[in-house]
Amino acid sequence: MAEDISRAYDKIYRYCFYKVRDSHCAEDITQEAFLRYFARNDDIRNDRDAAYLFTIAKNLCADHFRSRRWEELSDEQSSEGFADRSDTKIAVHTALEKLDEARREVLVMRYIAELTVSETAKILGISRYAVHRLESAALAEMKKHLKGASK
Amino acid sequence: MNVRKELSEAFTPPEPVNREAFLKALPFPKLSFGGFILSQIKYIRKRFWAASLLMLAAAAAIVCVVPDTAYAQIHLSEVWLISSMTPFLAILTAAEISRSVVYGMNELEAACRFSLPQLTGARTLILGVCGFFVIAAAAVISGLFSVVGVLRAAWYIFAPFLSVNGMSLAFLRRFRGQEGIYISAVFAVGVSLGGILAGAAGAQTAESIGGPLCAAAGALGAAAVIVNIRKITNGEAYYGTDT
Repeated sequence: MAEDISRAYDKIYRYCFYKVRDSHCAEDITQEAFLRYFARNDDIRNDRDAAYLFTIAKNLCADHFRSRRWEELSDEQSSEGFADRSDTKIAVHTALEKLDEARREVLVMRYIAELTVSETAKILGISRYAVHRLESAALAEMKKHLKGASK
Repeated sequence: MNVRKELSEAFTPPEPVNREAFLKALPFPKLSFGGFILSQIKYIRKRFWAASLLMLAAAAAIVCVVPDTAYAQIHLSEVWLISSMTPFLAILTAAEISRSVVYGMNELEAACRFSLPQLTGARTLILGVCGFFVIAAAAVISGLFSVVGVLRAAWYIFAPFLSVNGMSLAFLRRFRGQEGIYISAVFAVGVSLGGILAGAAGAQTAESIGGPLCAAAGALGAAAVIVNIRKITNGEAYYGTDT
């Protein structure tokens, strides 16, 4: 199987896992995104088409939250996303949630989904410069939050 | 704390369970083999097509402009002149074959259906067939209107093309980045100059030295092309170029 299709699947899966915090659900959404894309398109001709595939996944994740009741996490509840979490990981998660949406999305795409700057720019519909700018600002803010958390 | 590293590690998911089975069964519209080959044409850069047309036009211009007034035929020197242009088409062909395939999201569609060796093989087929037709057309044009005949003209025109193509593929596999293309360019210029000098040297000298040299260069070049294309399509390590 071509290496790059596996990589694309993994990138979308990692993104979905961050969003839904459940590996089975994340995989379902990933597969649904691929199915929906190829149901309506014969080809992926350029960056824009590929970004569309990612956007489908993003919207499916949003639909996932809208279609279920959001439950507050409690001590009794555990999901794979939160199982076996170290303090550092919890601090990173909390710091990430404190960012505004634009900065958070850039960090999620760059470091969790492991997309390149170009790919991130195309998916978010912004320039590469804007991605760099948001990324720098987001990382600086994360550092500040994490320093504060460690005190 | 390294924020980037922590971000990457904080949300590492479990391995997806059904990835392989799903991607194998993915019901995307299947291309026929012919459709697949044709779909690769758009990935070949315009400079290759432009160079091919330019070369044909130049060969036709030489044949039209320079014929012997008595017999409306070109001499061996003009055939060598046409032959001296083929290295530049060869270097473009080699660069296009060797161009590193950036397998980002751009070629996701092709990757769904076919593997990297198949994609490289398809492009090599297109470039090889096109290059063959261009060179063959130049050989026929110059051969039909020359004193040397089509077969000998083809021999003199194909040999530099094959030798530069073969060596360029080898250089591009061996040297990283732009280095490979510069070395190939130097080699192409050298071969081209050799052709021009052979044409200027006089018919007898050109025949006695150029003939055997062409045979050897053509044979070695063909072998180098076959070996290097096999290695490239098998995915063996090569540096290629994104030029």
